[in-house]
Order: sequence, then C-alpha cells, then structure tokens
Amino acid sequence: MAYSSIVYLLPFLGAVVLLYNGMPKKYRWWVLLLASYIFYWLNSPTTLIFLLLSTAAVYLAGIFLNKIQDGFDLSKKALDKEGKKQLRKIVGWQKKAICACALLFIFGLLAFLKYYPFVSENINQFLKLLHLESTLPSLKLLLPLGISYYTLQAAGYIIDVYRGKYRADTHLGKVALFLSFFPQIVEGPIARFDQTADQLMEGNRSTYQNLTWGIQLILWGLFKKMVIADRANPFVAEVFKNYAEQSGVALLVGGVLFTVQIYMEFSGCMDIVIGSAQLFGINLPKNFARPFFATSVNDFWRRWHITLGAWLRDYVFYSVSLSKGFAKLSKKAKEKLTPFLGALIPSAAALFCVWICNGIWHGAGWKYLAYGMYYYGIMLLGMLLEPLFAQCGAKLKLNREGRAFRIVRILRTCILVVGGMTLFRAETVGAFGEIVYRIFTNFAPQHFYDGTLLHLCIDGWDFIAIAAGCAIVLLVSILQEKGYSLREQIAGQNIIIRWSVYLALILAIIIFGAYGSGYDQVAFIYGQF
Amino acid sequence: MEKSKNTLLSCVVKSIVFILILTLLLLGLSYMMAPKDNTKESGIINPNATGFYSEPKNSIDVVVVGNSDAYSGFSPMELWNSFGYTSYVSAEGLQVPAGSLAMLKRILTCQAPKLVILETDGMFTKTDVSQNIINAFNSVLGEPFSVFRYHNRWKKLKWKDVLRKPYYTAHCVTKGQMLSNKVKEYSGKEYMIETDEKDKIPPFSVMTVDKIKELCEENGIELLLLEMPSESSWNYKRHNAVKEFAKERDLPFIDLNLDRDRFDFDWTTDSRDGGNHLNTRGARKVTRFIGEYLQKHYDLPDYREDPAYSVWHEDYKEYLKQIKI
Repeated sequence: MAYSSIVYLLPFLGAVVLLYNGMPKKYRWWVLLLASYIFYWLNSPTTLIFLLLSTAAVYLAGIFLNKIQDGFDLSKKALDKEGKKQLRKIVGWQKKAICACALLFIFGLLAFLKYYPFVSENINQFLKLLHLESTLPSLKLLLPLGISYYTLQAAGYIIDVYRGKYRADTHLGKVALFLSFFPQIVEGPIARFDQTADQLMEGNRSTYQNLTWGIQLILWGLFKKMVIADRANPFVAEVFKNYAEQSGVALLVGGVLFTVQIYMEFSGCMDIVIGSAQLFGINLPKNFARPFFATSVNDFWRRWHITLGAWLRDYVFYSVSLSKGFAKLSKKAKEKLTPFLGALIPSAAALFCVWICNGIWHGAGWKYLAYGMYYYGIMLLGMLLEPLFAQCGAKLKLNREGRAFRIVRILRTCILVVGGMTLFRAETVGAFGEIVYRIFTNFAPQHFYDGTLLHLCIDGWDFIAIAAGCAIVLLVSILQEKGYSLREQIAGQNIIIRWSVYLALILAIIIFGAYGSGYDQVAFIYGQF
Repeated sequence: MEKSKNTLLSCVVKSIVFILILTLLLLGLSYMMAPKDNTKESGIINPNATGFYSEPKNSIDVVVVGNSDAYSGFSPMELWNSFGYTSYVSAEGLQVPAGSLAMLKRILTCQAPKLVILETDGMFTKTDVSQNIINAFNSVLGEPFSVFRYHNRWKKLKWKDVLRKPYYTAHCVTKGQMLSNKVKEYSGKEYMIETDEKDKIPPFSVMTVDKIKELCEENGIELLLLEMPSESSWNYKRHNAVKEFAKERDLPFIDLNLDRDRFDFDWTTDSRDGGNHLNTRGARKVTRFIGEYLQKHYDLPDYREDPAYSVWHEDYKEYLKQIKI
C-alpha cells in the first residue's frame, strides 16, 4: 500500500481520519496505534514481529534506565562527595551497559536482516580466494518494512534517555506509536521522541485548517511524484539498465533525470507523509529545504534528508568527536601538527564515521559505501582546499558573497550531486565507472538534437511535461527560499482564486500523472531501504 | 456553540460545492479526452475488443468477454460460417470480471446481445485491494469518468476532436479474435486430474460475476460460463470451484478442458504457445463445438441468408485469407 496508492489515500486514510475524530479524545491515540499496526501488517505481515521486538527492547531499556537513575537520585542524598562519585561511576556503567544492550539488539536485528546477505557473500568470496572450503550459509531474509527508519528512531530515543535529555516514557502505547506511526514508518522523517510523541498522544480533533492544509500538501506531493518522478522513470530505468549501449549524452541526461526523479519522489513522499500527519493535527519534522539551492555539498546535506543528517550528526558525529579517545587524538594532532591540520584531522576522522554510516544506511553493497565515500571525499577536499580557495579569491578580487559567485557555487553543487546520484542509481561501482567513462569518451552531442533521446521509452511530450513540472516546483521553491509561504498567500486570496489553484493542481495530477495503461506503479525508492 | 455549528455547516457546504465543481470538470474533461473513434490511431485502448461500436446497431447476438484465453480461442467468423450466428469477442489481455462488467456495459450502449459468454479464467486472477478499488470504479463509473483511462491522450489531442461527437469507423474482420497460425505443442502430462478439492474464487470476482449476472438478467440476456482449454492456467480444482459457483446460481458452465476428444482437440497442433493459448486451428475446433452447444440450447437466429448481413460473408473470406486456408 504505497502512500501514493488510491487504497492508502482514500479508504485507509479516510477511514482513519473519520474514526480518529469519532473517538473520545483520550482514545484517539489508540486509533492511530491500531491503524499503524494494520498499515504495517497489510504491507509486511511477516516482519511485524521485528517492529514489536524493537519496541519492546527500547521500552524495557528505558524503564531500566529510569530505575537506575531513580535509585541513584535516592541513594546519593545519604552519601558524601566521594561516595557520590563512586556511585555515579557505577551507575554510569550500568546505564551504559543497558543502553549498549538495547542498541546491540536493535542494530543487531538491522545488521542481520539487512546486511547479512552482503557480508556473507563477501566473506565467502574471500574464503574462496584463500581456498578454504568452509562458507557462511546464504540466507534469503525478508527485510522488514521501514526497519532502517524505525531503528534509528528507537536508537535516538534510547540514547537521549541515556544522555539524560528526557526520562524514558513509562507508557508502552506512546513508545509503540512513536516508533510505528503509519505515515512515517516507510520513509521517515526520522523523528525524535520529544518532537512527535506528545503530539501523537494529545488526540486533538482535526481542524478545518489541518484537513485542508494536509490535503493540499498531499496533492503537492502527488504532483511531484506522479507528474514528474514517475514520468521520468521509464527513461531512467532504460538508460541505467542498458548503460553499455547508451551514448554519453543519454547517460548524462539519465543522471540528471534520476536526480530529478529521486528528489521529486522523495520530497513528494515527504509532502504526502507530512500532509497525512497534518490531517490529525500532528506536525512531523521537515526532511527537505530546497536542496538544489545549496551552495556546497555540506549545505546540500543540511537541506536533503535533513532528519537523517541530523541523526548522524547528533548520534554519530558528536558521539565520536566527544569521546575520550578522540579527545586525546585531537589534542595530540593539535600539538604535533600545524593549527590547520590539527583542527582538520579530528573533524575529518569524525566525518569519516558519519559518511561510512550514511553510505551503509542506504543499502548493503559496495556502491553504497562508495556513495558515502564520494561525499566524504568531496567534503574533505573542500576542507583541505578552503585556504587555497580563499587566497585565490582574494587575489582575483572575487566577491565570494556576491550573487554571481553564489550561482556558480549552486551550479557546482548540482553537478557534484548529479555525480553522486548517478553512482547511487548505477547497478554497481563498476557500472558507474563505465557510465562516467562513456560520458567522456562517447559523448555524441548530436543526440541532444537528433531525436535519439526521444526513443528511450519517453517522448518529447513527456520531456515537456517533466520540464513544465520542474519549472513549477522551481518557482515555488524560489518563493519559499525568499521566505514567502505560498500556502498562506493562497489561503489569503478570495475563494475563486483559491479554488482555481486547488482544482488546477488536482486536474494536473489526473491529466499529466504517469499512471494507468502503459505505466506500472513505481515503488518509492527510499521505501526500499 | 452556535458559531461553531455555523462554521461546521459552512465547511460542509463548501466541501460539497468544491466536489461538485470538480466532478463537473472531470465529466467535461472525460468527454474531451475520450477517443472519438475506435481505430487504433484514435487512441482507444484495445481497439480489437471495441470493434462492436462500429458494427450495425443491435446486430451482434453473442458476446464473449474474458481474458486472452477468450480472444485466442473463440472464432466469431467460424461461428458465422458454421451456424450463421453473429458474435463478437470483447476480451482483453488480463481482463478480470470487473473489466468484463465494464466492457459489457459499453457493449450494451450499442448492441443488444441475446447471449453473453464469460470466460472464467479471469475469475482467478489475483488482484490487490488497490486494484480492486480501481476495477470497481472502472466498472461502475469508468465510462462517464473516462479521463482516468484516457488522460494520457493529452499528447495527441487535436482541437477538432475535443468537442465532436464519437463516430466509430473501425472494421475488425476477425470480430475481436486474435489470429495466430503459430504452432507450439504442449507435450506434458495430463493436467485435468480428477479431485474433490476446490480452488477459492477471490470474493471480489464472485461479487463482480454476480453483478454481470444481474446486468444480464435486467437486459434479458442469457449468461454462459465457459472455460477454454489451457494447460497453464487451468486445473481440476478450478473446474470444481466454477462448477459449484455455476450450480449455486443455476448458470450453465462448459469446461473445454474436460473430454477434449469431443471436439478432436490436440495439444500438439492446437496451441500457439505450448499449452497456454489456442492458435487458429484450436479456435476453429473449439468454436464449432461451442456452436453445436448453442444450437442445442439457445434459440439464436441464422443470418446467413439475410442480405443485411452480407458483409459477414466478405469478412469470412478475408478471415480465411488471414488464417491462410
């Protein structure tokens, strides 16, 4: 039941909204929890058990952490300073052990179910090279729906409790709903407990504004997904499947179109997800902030899949860079190297951990590791060359804050992102290498205008529809980037203008959407992680 | 309290008006986007299956609906030549009962068949809830809201086509049958092994075939359930399920997978793809057998001597040329 499917949008979401509002306030969270488990069961019945296990693990771990903390708070009153110090040390270890056990359990499930096939295959190949006969059994494992998302939410919750950011919640239903809330279980956003859990339990009635704004956002998401992303899909699928037969131009256009496709699809899905939650008066954290206006790759990752970036920053980057061992390394580097390198090396080492995690989070395969390393390499290079760029800029008297320079930086970032997305979409790292090689050695510029591109599963009209859709999204993004809230602007207009805009959006989806005869429903790319 | 009641009322009224405007726009767009002819060039989906639009009004007495088994295995021209019955195959690849129901409704806009033959293989096609909703919508409101089927025609839409009335000109010589002279034998084991076990017919299929039955009854049409020979999609469990289904509803059911010697059927020569679909040779044998059954059980007129149907003789000659006999 994809978020863009009719069964989700009409009978499922419609029934949940009606039931939710029909229930007394204190039981409304039950409707959301039940709907979330039904949604999960309908999509992935056999793997629901893993979601329940992860929920039970973090709930129990949280309760234990509370008890240990409460015991410490009670005992410390009767102790002197030295006694408190001793007890704090013991309690610290106990809390660390419980947190580690819970993390080991939930990440263990994720690691086994998601990465075992990849790891076992590579170990077996390695053993074969050594002429050893023993092999790891190859298992066909079902990947639980949304495991990469709810595991990060669960881990974030338990780490926050461990760090003392908030106390663990004793309400099992609240923890269960936080981890399973149906709009966000498949593709995120990866929310924090203190961002959504209370809202989920409040049970506020859906207001007229929540309903209309939620529906508007869902429609906007459908526009991006069905009019742009799904229309580009046949071209992208064809080019990347038969890359060895394509010219450089086709591969380049394929890379650009895939970048467009994944952005429209993922951000469109987030619009549907956030809009769905808004129907119940629940505000989910945003996952996109117009990433193609980014002036650097770092900036891009602050605007793209924001909640994943923030999770990696808070729970990987800070955990590594604030660890004792790392502090020692940092200190030594500052003592023995130049100030620049002394500051650079610790950051580079912590970032390495972040990008390894980012890469493997996206999937079990060498290309995903390479994907993480691609961005890591660019960022590292940027950090290394920054003083040189600054010097060059000063010598050439470039206005690095000026509009022209900003546009150049945006274009540069877009090119780098297209490169990263091409690697992401290629079947293997080797295939990516060949694609790049063909772009440079078999460019065939005439294919831009001789009609070749119009015979790769989509025609000229499709290109026009994609371009027009992108132009509309770009226009909206420019306005948003300038601080306009388009929805508020439209809401402030008279009913004729307002309704004309809404009707135009609905009709655009119905007429220009890629669905029905000749189109297969395209699964959300980020729903497969 | 009064204020909140008024606000609620205003919201409900606004929502209803909005939906009404949207519905009117969709109806208008459906008219504009719908193909105005039934030729392939007009953009109509499955032009072969929709050739009945351009047959003279109420000239078709037997209509066959179902999936590819039906358009491969039933030969209207053979039925015409041997019995003088007029028939049309409005089957489509992967057509499920909801698709058959929608097709039947379209047929009834211009034809008044005396008999509908439903090929039963499609009853077992598994569809998910989403697909069932779409199918149900298409079978009930698919025609007035054809914009959902033909939305992609915006690419080829011509201004002169937008507002003109439909005028159907296609002429399908085979009357919906797909001809294939290819022979690929099936040489595997006998697949109809007698058993008491029954396959389950998906509830949505049961519901939809009941709707087809209702529609037929309302229009005074007889309904016949038929299963074409098909090794890959049929078995005894399915036979038992449809037999029971037909018995409960007092509908006749012919399973041509049983006693195939009755019509001299031979899997080594009569299939085009190794046992899934029939070729023209198989279709001729099967259709002659069906014709005998129709002759025995129904009172269908023989039009062979009727000058108004002379074009059918011409079509039969063309059909013979196409099947290279």
